[in-house]
Amino acid sequence: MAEQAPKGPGPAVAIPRRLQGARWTIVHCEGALESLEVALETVAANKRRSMINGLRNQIRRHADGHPMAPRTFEDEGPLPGRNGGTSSRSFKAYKRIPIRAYLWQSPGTRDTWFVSHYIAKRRDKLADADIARVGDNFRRIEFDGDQC
Amino acid sequence: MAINVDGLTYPASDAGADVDARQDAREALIYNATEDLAVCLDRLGVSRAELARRLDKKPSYVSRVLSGRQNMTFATFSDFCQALGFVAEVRVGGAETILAPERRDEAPHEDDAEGWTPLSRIESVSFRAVDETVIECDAPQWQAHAA
Repeated sequence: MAEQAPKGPGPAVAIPRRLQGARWTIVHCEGALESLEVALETVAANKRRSMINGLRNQIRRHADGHPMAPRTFEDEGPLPGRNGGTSSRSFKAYKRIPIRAYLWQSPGTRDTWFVSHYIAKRRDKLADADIARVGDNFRRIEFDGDQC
Repeated sequence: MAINVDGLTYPASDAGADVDARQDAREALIYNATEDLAVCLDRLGVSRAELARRLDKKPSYVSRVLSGRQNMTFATFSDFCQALGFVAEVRVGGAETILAPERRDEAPHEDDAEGWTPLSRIESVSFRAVDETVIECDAPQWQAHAA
């Protein structure tokens, strides 16, 4: 008869601050994981582990360079330009209802995407506050030289 | 839930390490399989409604399966692939050595009922090209492939 697996704490599910995949490196900006913690409060306690696991699967798939379905990885809004306007490039979002993570592909750091922040929402419409928050992080890292 | 220098961690469940690991692996498999199908749909320009029509199912069924909410059986996965013109394949990751195809020249030969001889025991095999696509050889065809 097979030996019973020991009961007790299992492995913690983690979303790393920095994930090096086969194709891309995904880096969380300062405060991004804290925003995920806040967003997860809207998810039922018994579904949080699965939600984190799902987000981690999305990040891993992306980092390894596998194609992402548009419904879960969409262009969201414009990135800021250097002269105060907007860039022709867009930032994207990982979507896993009700949580989204906004991220951009770095023009300055090779093969790297930065995750700006997470939010919980059920509507598709992009909020101005989220465009502004991504813009602030983008300027801080891409123009001012912050690490993350 | 905690955040440390490495990232965000979530407390393990009371169910045990094996149960957690199984759950994590299951979710990763379902996510990647449904995401692959969703990418195929998008790149082929096939709507979920059209896929439902090809499967003779309701669109809500297709949505449920592709969202990962409905447990997808091998049969369902095969049906979805077939409806898109693909063949479903399953790979047991990490077991490549165990599942490597047997090579004919590694099989026993001394007592083999069919009496075939491994290529390594054949002293010479000659080939000649008949045209661009057909190769004739003096040895049986499997030996030609093995060469």
